[in-house]
Amino acid sequence: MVIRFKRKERRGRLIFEVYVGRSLRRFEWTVEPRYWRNPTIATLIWLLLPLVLWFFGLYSILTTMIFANIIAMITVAYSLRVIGTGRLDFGPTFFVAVGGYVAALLSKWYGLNPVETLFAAFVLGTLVGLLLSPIVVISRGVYYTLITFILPFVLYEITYWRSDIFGAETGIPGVPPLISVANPVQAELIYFYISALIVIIYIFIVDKVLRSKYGLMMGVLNEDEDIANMYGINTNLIKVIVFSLTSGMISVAGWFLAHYYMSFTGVLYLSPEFLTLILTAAVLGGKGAVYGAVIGSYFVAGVREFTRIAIPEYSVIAFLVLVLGLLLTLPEGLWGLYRRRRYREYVPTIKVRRKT
Amino acid sequence: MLDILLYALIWGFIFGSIYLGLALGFSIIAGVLRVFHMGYGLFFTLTVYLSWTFWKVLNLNLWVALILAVIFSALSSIGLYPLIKKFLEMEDYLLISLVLVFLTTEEVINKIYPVETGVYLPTLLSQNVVYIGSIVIQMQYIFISIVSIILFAIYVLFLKFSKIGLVIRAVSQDLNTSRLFGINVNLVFAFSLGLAILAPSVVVLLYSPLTRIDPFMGFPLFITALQVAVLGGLGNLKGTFIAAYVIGYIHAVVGFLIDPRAMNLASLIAIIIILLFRPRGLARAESIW
Repeated sequence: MVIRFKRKERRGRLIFEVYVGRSLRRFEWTVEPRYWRNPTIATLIWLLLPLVLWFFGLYSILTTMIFANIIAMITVAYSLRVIGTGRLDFGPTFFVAVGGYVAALLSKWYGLNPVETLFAAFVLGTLVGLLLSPIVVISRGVYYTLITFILPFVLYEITYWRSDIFGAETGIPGVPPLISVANPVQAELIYFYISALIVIIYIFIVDKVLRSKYGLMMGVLNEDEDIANMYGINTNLIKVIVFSLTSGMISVAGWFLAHYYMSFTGVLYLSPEFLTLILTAAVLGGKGAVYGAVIGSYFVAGVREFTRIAIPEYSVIAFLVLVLGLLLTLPEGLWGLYRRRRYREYVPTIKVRRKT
Repeated sequence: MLDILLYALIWGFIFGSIYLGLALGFSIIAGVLRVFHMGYGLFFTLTVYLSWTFWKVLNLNLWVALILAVIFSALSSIGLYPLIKKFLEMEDYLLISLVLVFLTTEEVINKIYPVETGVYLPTLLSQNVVYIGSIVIQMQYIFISIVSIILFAIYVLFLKFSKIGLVIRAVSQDLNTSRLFGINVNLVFAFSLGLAILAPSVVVLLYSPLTRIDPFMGFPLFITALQVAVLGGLGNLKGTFIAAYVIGYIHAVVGFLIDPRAMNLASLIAIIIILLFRPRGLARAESIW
């Protein structure tokens, strides 16, 4: 395989040309420094902040940031799913539970280590997604949303039905930790960086997909599925692939939860409350906006923690009311606010299709 | 074996009738407003807890309390119309905001009346039981089934033969043409929201002595209503009627032969299989009837 780096005349683009035998694959990256400045600053602050918190002994904020990263893993994958299927999905928590149970049960039954359970959670999550993918093809518009809303509830019932396997409210204890560090504060720091790494990988993958020709196809699918079909886009194939792969990606969040808390209680994550966290993080971040999903996740996790400290008695109500208020006043989400101030059309805008 | 079949046959009918009553409002809202009321489940909880408030806290007569609770639930449903109107063209925001309203209301009720309060409603119409062969059924189940079917018939007759029903059907069939004919669409929407809540509220009040009452009781009932409405074809009452009994019989068979916890799994699988052949549900949702 010959890899040739080629700098084209067009400014700010780094082009790799990869020859495999006689076939050519071309990859392009935008390297215009001004495009990179803000994301680089934001990423640096994000990655250095835990060290500052550790230095000042603000460990509880570190824990909140890890939780925000877990939400971000789900919402970034969820954003790709919303764009790729062109529909609102109420079932991401189902796949969180699938990943968590796979990791917990395989550790318990077969003594698999976290790396092996990561692989298993992703593969099985993807397979379950593939198995359920007919619903994304057959169910029209809001039927899909409503069916996906039922999915977590069905698994919730199954966990009680087969509580000998899933442990129902007790969960599955004794899941090995991801890392064996004696100092809990150092362990938290390492957990933060592992979760942040997963989020960065997810953002990279989703961003690349959306900027590729498949991203454009998803954009057309979002705007009008009939027109996408008329253009010869195999919309069903795109929907099935996106649904299956994002199921695997979301399952990894479940895997992380199981190994982080060293036990997995699926009913906690199958509840409508956890679904609300994910949906509001995705919507407040800016529906379908990948970077916005991370901002939304941090915002939601932060507000949840703040209400818990400020008004512990009424924290859930305060959180829900606040989120509802923001939903009413910020229809474009937090990323939408940023885009309105600093509008740059790097890639074609992808909207969530209204037509069902 | 014959006993089990008889069990499934009778309980399928009872489950189906109860589900019909529970899903009726959701179908009407979906049929008229063409929106999917994700906050629908809150009215089950609200009706029960309002009844308790009027009866025990305000010391009103039980039956007056029940009537007031049903009316207040219908009014609070109408009160949600500004939110629905705001997001009428943004379906995803509408669905999420209604889920948020649902959860917030549940949490508020939980704060006022935690589970330990021991809320109950003595709405048992009869303590007797009925014997059908070797099967023993509480009379209340028979009453709820009959009430559900009667309410369904009243709604159908109202929508088919009354002038207001005609207006509602016109709006459900073509919104723009209805506007051209001078129909106040907002008024019809708000009225339908209130009307839709009346029947399920009555059914849940009769059902409450047979089920566990807690501030989160609305969610499982809502899931059942959702399954019926999706299978029936969102917004079509004929489809809702058939789907209620299909799901009722699936639940009865699976509940008696396998495990009650597997009932929802079985009905979900059935819904997916049926939607494979009829993507818009058992009846196409062209109009409310």
